[in-house]
Parts: sequence; structure tokens; C-alpha cells
Amino acid sequence: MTRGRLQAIAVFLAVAILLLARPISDALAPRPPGVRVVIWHSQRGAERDELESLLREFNAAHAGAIVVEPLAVPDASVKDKLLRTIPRGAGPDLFIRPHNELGELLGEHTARTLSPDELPFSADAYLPGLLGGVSDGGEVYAAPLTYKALFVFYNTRLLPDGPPKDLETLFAMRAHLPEGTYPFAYDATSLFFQAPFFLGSGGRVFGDDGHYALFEGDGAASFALPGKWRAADLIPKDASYNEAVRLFETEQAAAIICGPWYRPAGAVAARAHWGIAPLFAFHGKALGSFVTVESIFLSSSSAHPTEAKEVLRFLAGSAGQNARYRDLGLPPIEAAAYGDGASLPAPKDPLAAELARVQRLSLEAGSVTPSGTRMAAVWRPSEDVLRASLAGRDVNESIETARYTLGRVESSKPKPVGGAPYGVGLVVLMSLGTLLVVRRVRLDIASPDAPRARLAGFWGRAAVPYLLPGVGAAALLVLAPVVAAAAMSLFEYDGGHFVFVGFSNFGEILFPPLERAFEARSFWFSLGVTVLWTLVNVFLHVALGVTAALLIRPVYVRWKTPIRLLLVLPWAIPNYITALMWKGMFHAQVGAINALLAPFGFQGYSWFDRFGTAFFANLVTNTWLGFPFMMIVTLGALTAIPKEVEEAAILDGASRWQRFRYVILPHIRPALAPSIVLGSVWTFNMFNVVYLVSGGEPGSQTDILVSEAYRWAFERGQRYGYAAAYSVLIFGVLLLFSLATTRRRKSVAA
Amino acid sequence: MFARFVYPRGRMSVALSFDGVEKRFGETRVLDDITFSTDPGELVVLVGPSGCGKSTLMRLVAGLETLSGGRIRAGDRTISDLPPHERGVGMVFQSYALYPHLSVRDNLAFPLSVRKASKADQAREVLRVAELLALGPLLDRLPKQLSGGQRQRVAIGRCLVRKPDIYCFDEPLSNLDAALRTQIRVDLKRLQRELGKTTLYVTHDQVEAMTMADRIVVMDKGLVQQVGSPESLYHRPKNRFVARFIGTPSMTLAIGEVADGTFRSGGLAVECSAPPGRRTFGVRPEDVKVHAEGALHGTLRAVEPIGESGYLHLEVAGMQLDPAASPSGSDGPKTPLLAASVPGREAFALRPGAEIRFDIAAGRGMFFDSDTGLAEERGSTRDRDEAP
Repeated sequence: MTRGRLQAIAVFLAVAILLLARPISDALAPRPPGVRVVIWHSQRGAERDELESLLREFNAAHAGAIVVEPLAVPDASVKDKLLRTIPRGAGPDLFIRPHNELGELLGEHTARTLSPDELPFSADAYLPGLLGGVSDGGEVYAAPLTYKALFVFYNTRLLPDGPPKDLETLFAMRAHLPEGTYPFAYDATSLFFQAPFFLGSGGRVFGDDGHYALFEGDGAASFALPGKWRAADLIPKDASYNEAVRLFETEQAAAIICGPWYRPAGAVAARAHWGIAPLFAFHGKALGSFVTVESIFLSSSSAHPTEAKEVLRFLAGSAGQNARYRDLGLPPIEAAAYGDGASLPAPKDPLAAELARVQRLSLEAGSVTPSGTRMAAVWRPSEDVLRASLAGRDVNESIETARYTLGRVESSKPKPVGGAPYGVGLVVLMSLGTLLVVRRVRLDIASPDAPRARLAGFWGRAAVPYLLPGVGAAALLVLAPVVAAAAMSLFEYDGGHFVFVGFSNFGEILFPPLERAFEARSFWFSLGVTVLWTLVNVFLHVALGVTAALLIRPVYVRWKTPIRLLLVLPWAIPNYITALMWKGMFHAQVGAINALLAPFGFQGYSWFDRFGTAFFANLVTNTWLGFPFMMIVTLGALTAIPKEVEEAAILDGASRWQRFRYVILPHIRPALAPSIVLGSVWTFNMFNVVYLVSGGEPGSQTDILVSEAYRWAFERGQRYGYAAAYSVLIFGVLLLFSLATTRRRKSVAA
Repeated sequence: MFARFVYPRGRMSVALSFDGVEKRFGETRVLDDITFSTDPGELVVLVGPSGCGKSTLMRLVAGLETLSGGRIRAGDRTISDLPPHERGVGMVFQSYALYPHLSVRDNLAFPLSVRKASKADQAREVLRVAELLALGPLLDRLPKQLSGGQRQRVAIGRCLVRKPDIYCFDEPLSNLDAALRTQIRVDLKRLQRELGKTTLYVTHDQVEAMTMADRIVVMDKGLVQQVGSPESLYHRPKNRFVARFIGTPSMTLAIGEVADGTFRSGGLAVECSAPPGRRTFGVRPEDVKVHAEGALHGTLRAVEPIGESGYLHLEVAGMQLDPAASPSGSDGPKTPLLAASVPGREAFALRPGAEIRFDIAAGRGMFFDSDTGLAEERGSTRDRDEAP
């Protein structure tokens, strides 16, 4: 059998399998009859099992009429998938998501409204506040399934009578607690956990007209609380989630604030020394938290809305509620379920009733987490303010900065601008550009060493098909996105569609108000940081790389293979992972760096609290990643140095340094020069290290231009056009840089 | 090419001596018990086939390799203990090894600038050397803008600037074309005379050795075969190797039997007073006299007219060449040939295949022991070049 024939058979088989797979599997496992309703969810473990058993129950009851097919989608991607598929008429019939994504989902019109009789319970049968979380503009878009709120976990040994009703009493009890034990611990860096105190102080995220109100009035004052408590040593030094949990589990914290997803482990669980309680009161007021409502939405693209609503009513109604309470201990959504005459089944988890009670109290005193895209911009600035408070810095100053940042997010988006002058300008530019290119090509063809450049003639024509794939790929993967980004920079993204704003984005970026121009999050500040970052990094890469190459040089020939192996490893590990590794090493409490430097007083030193040390952490990581490249380039260049020239220098009496400077360096310079240019460009755009290691801490000061652009697009209210303008500016800077270095190289070589 | 000058004779030239010098690379012994010494101010040529160790020996003198055993002395100082730049040794590399990124001027000044000499001193020395070697117009050029000969002069100049006691030249003529070679040979010899310093010169070309050397050191496989003046090496080689190495074309070494006062190797018969037994007989081409009444005869296989003279390669029936004297690695001629030298006019007239009659000149030729290769007792005149 000839090879050609084998190949043909292989292709035929492949195509056959692809075409027949569906029909065959359908024939082998025939789909049950009835209308097919697809429901997307991202639940795992016991919750997923519960959902699936409920659905099986439903399917059994509706056999032949409706068949529900659940599809588990990873949590991180389900929202994007929904936003992409439903507007195009595809996607599921139903989906389960937390309520606070409502804003984004509505923006793309992915959910259908539900009329009051389509909900399983009547509007006032729900716990107060729940429906508000799934409504917008008076319309209800989803049916609540259950909810999650924060409450108190306390240590029953340290607080045998249960926790005191209010926080002040708890703090006063500090004296009675064992040495080194904190009365209270919580994640004071996150607005989510700070919310009870924020809301309890009267704070509101949004004002009546929807403007950002969280840094106004009493709410603003609540941001200073963590600092005060830290200063009085009432809460631990590291006020993070992991630390709070760790302290609680090792019985070094009497009480923590956490949510129903958490079950204590460690010592405190082993000795069964824990219990739960409602949130404290503060300043005489009961505290509540931000509440998340897990809800089921009806997709606007569903082809079978009637059947889908059946499923929705089942899952979100008594049957579903009771099953979830009984098997998973999830709090019911029906107000009547909390009364004395409640007819709830006995839960498997003995804690379930108490969990439901404390969460209901939290819901009463608190509020559902505000949904909406504008909420997303709130978390970072509030985190900055809380961190500033904890670090003992001036809270008011950081509130000012946070307010300014939020202000920029919600500043009136650039007004739409007439496109005519831009259109004309574009046409002129493109014509000029085309003329220039044509002229250049003509000149090249006519020049003396042109024969190689010609695409005419036999060899020229033969070359074209070889060139096309490469050129095509480059055009598609490089040129097209660049053009698209450049185009996007002239628009602004406003609630779902793009609005043409001309050069306003560039104007905003390049000409901010003067007093803010050189602070973090401004273009000029980031530009300065990025230039500094690039210069220092490249310098270190080259210095370390060349030094290492010189040291390895004598043994390089013999140990070439092991050396290459050692070097391939850091390159083979994705630098994303490396960045995370180093971030872990710089961790204040459990990081390796602080452990090694403990004798010098670095115990618990927080590297990311100051610009200098955070920058240093990024620097170390990037240098570790980058110097092997320079080392390998240098080693290669070193092997090319004629031995006799070095020997002549030895005989002439040159010292090691003189030999390096006059003999070695001139020889490796031609190899290093392009590497330095490359390295500079890569470092300038090194997103991974900066974003993952320091995360821009403190307060976005260590952010470089690329990570700033990213944040503008995805963390500060979807300012895609603004971020695109940033990218164009970055491109411009690097373009100038490469032009300058190319020109310099040409003049040196001449 | 080189200008005349008077070298300031402030410093005495020193004698270079090697005492039991050994060099091993791992297990391989590259130099074995090298022991000889030179007179002050001599031009000593180290000559031998590739791999004989001559370059290694020179590098040991320069300090670019370390000895595995023995000592090297320059005058009273034991330089083998000193670092390279303190030995007073200057070296001109085969590839000239100029600093490619420095101008000629900076190349010449480099040894001084490295020692932090003052700018004035540097300039003065550079000019002096440039004048000596006619480098004046080239001072601001870069090495890549120079021809081979010019680069060599710069390399020599760089050496001169340091005013070393000992000069080392590592195959300086190999990278030059033939015409230039002859010219520069003469110039180098003259320069060395005028400098008056002990010079070590490495080459694989025995013609260079013969023309330039005051003393030749023939080396093979890491051993010194013979040390002596060109004349003593030519006329009184100590062994087969030296006998064949020196002289072009090489001496013919025939192996045969001595019986009844005659050495026979096939058709080659020579009267001699050597003891009977198996022996190797060596005869130079100029001692094979071609004339019509010659007692011996052979068939002409190849003729090489050089111009002034010509070399005939004769096949003598039954003659056998000493196998130990063939250069290693070559297949060897299929037929053993005897080389004879004739005046050029005669050579032009001869054609291969002709019958040639010849005699061995009386009292010429020499015998070697077929097993050890050593020359058998020759001459009694004491020679100043005998190795100590």
C-alpha cells in the first residue's frame, strides 16, 4: 500500500469520525424525549451534587415533557461565556450566578425580566432586601436561591459565655485573655470584611443620585478604625484573611469575622472550641454585612422560556429551598421559614439552624452587595485606604487619593466627537503613507544591490508563496490587533457600546490636572517608574550576566550540557509561576526572604508597604528571570574571542580589568547590543512580574505603564478606549526607542 | 622596509637556557627533558614538524603555559617562576593578535599605557618604534585597514615598545605570501642583528631556519633532536630525522648491507669503511654526481627543474629506502627514489624514462644505525655548536 493511499485513508477516517460521532453517540445513548432546558452553573462538590439530584427529581417528575441538562462551567469564565453567547442567541436557558453580576449581565441584556407571578414566592414572602439585589429599575431579573452573609466565629474556651454583644466590650476583655492572644481578627484590608463597620457607621457606597459616596460623611471615618485598632494592638499586625484564619485556628484570636464557606480546621476544630454568633453591635448599633444572593436567571436567548420558568420555579421554590437547607444547611429565602411555626425539614448539619439565624440577622442589619459595573471600581481604592490606615499612614490623605481615583473612573466620559475631521485626517495620512512606501520601494528596486530586493523575475515569483504564510500570520496576529487597538483608542466604552471621542483619551492621559500629574496612577508618574524600572533592570541583567559568563567561562566547554540544563529550567517555568513563587518568598509572615533575614530584624517585614522595597522585590524577581539570557549571549560571544589577542594582552601586562575593558568588552559588545535593545523592550512591558509580585503596591506606585493600562481596562470601570490609548502611547515610546538605537547602531557600524 | 637605526645598547642581552623542561597535558607528554642553552643575542630557531612541541616550548618561555618540570632561565633569573609580564619576554603571534578596536598608535602604546606610563613617554616610544618600522602614515588606522605585512610590523612594534630581553616570534611568516616572505626574512634577520637580543623563532619551514638562524633546535615528538649551527646540522646530523629534515630535497636514506667493504642496497653500491652488517646509508642530492661514465645507473622517474639547478629522482633497481625515515602519515612513494642534483640546463633536457649513470662522490654520504637511527661516528673537529 503506497504512502499516498495510506494518507488518503487516514484523512477519510478522520472526517468520518468527526461527522458520525454525534449520530453514533446519540444512537447509543438516545436523548430522552421532551423539551431540552440547559442550565449553566459553577458549583462544585456537595452543592453540585445537590443541584443535580434536584434536577433528576424534576426530570423524573416531568419525564417526556421537559429534560433539564446541567452544565458545570468554571467559575472564572462563566460570566464571560454568558456575555458572549447569549447576545448572539446561543447559550443556556437558565444560569445560576451571584446577584452582584447583575449589572454587567444587564448591560448585555442577557437576562429576562420575571413578572411577580413567575416567581415561586410572592414579593413580600421573601426576606426583606433579597429581591432588591436581583432587581433593577423596579424589574426583577432573577429568583433568589439562597444567600451568604458574614458573621462571627468565636473561641468557646476563651469566651465561654459566648462573645459579648458589642465590640467595645470585646476589646475591653483583652486584659483577661492570655498573653499574645488577640480579642478579634479579620481581613481589614478588604472593604468586603470592613463593610459591617462601614455600614454600621452609616456609610453608603452610592449616594442617592448614584455617585460614589463611600468616602463621604461617617462612612469615611470608618476607614480609620483598623488603624486605630492596630495601633492599640487590638487586631493583629497582619490584618489579612489568611492570618485571621490562622490565628483563630491556633487559638490566638478569640473571635473572627467570616462567612458560611469557612469551617474551622486546625487545633480549634480538633478540640471543638468554636461556635458561631451574630455580628457584634458597634456604637450601640447592630452590624450587618454585604450579602451575596445566589440567584437563578432566565436567559434572554432561551428558546423555551415557558419550560425554563418551570425549572426556575422548582429550583427557587420551596422544594429547592428545603432540599438545600436539609442537605447543605443553606439559609432559606422565605421569611416564613424563620418563624416558630416553620415547616423546614430537619437539617443534616446540626449547625444549619444557627447558620441561618446569624446570617439572617446580618442581612437585616446590612445590605445586599451593590451590583453594577461601577461597584467593581470601588474595591481597589478602598483597599488602598484601609492599608494606609493599617500601616499608620495618614488616612485622610489616602482618602483624598482614593476619591480622586474614583472620580476619574466616573468622570464624565468624553463627549462624542464628530468624526469628519478625523476621517479626513486618516485618509490624508494613509495616502501619504502609501506614497512614501511606494517611493521607498521604487528607490530600493532601482538601487545598485537591488536585484535581491526585486520580487519580479523567476526567483521573485517563486519566493512569494513562501512569504505569504509568514506575512499573513504577521498581518493577522500582529498588525491587525495593533490597528484595532489604535482605532479603539479613539473611542470610549460606555455601557455596552463604543462612542467616538477623537483624541480626548490622549488628552486626558497626557494632560492631567497638574497637581495629580506626578502621583501614582498618572501617566507621567508611571512613565517615570517604567523608565527607572527598565534602566535598573537592564543594567543589572547585563552586569550579572556578563559577570556570570566570565566566571563560568573556564568551565563552560566541559560543563556545557549541565549548565544549559540548569539554565533551561528557569526559562521553562512560565514566568507567571516564577513571579508567584517570588511573591510568596517576599511574604511578610511566611516568606523565605524574611525567614532568612530574620537575624537582621526582618521578621514580619512587609516588603510591599513602601515603594522602595516593593520595587526592590520586583527587581529581584525580574533580574533572576532575565540575567541568564544575557549570560548565554555573552558566553557565546566569549567563545568567539581569538585566544591570541587575550594572550597578547596578558603578555603586555594588562590586569584582569584591563583585559576585560580593552579586549573582551569590545568583542562582546556587538553581541550584547541587540540583546540589550531586546531586553529593554521586554522589561519595559514586563507585565507578569509587576502585576503578580508587587501587584502595583503600594497604591499603584510600582505599576508600570502596561499594568496601568490593564487596570484601566479591567479594574477601573471598563475604560477600554482609555487603556487602548495607553497602549498606543507605550507603542510610541518603544518605537522612538528602537528608532534611536537603530540609528545609533548604524552610525557606529559605519 | 625597516629603517636603519642604532639600538641604545644600555642593556646586555641574556642567554636563554632550558634545564630539563617538561610539559604534560594530562597524561600526554608534549615536551620531554628539553635541555639546551643559547648564547646571548642569538637568533635561535625552533624547527620541526607539526605537533613536535616547538610552539609549546615558546609559550612556556612567554609564560602562557606553565611547566610540568624543569626550569627556564634568562641570564641569571629563573623566569619560569615569574608571571608572564614580568619575564621580560616579548612575543609576536602567528596571527599578530592586534587589538582590533584600537588604532595602530594605541596598539603600540598599549603595553605602556597598561603600566600607567605618562602620555609623553607613550608618545615618544610610539614615535620611535613607528619610525623604526616605517609605521608613521599608519598610526591612526585600525588593524582591519592594514595589509598582512603592515599588521606584522605593528605586532613587532608592539613587542619592541616594551624593550624586552627576549623576543619570541611564532611562525611570523606563515600568514604572508611567498614574495613577501623572502623580503621579510631578510628584514627580520637584520632587525634582530641590530637589536642584539636573544630571539626565539618558531617555524616549520626548514628553509627559514637555515637562512635565518644562528642556531637551530630541531625537535620531533617533544624531544630535542639536535642543536647546532645550520652548517653543523646540514653536514653532521646526529640522526636520521635531522638528516632528512634539514636540506631540500631531503637526503636519500637507503637501507642495505655492508659486506666486504661495500654497502649495497639493490643497485646502489658504495665503498665504505663501515663495519659489516645492516646499515642505513644517507646521501644528499648534490653528492650524487650524474655523468655518462658513472658506475651506477638508474631510471629517471621525475625531473624538477628549479632554474639554476634541477633535481632528478632516479629509480635504482632493488634499492630500498629506510622505512623509519619516511615522514609519518604519508603513503610514501610507491617506488624508492634516489634524489640527484644537476645543473639547471641539463635538467631541462632530460625526460622521464631516460637511463642515468651516476657516482656517489667520494667521501660523501654518511651511515646511520638502522635500528637507532643515530649517525655513526663522523668527523673529529670540535664544533662550537655541539650541544653541551
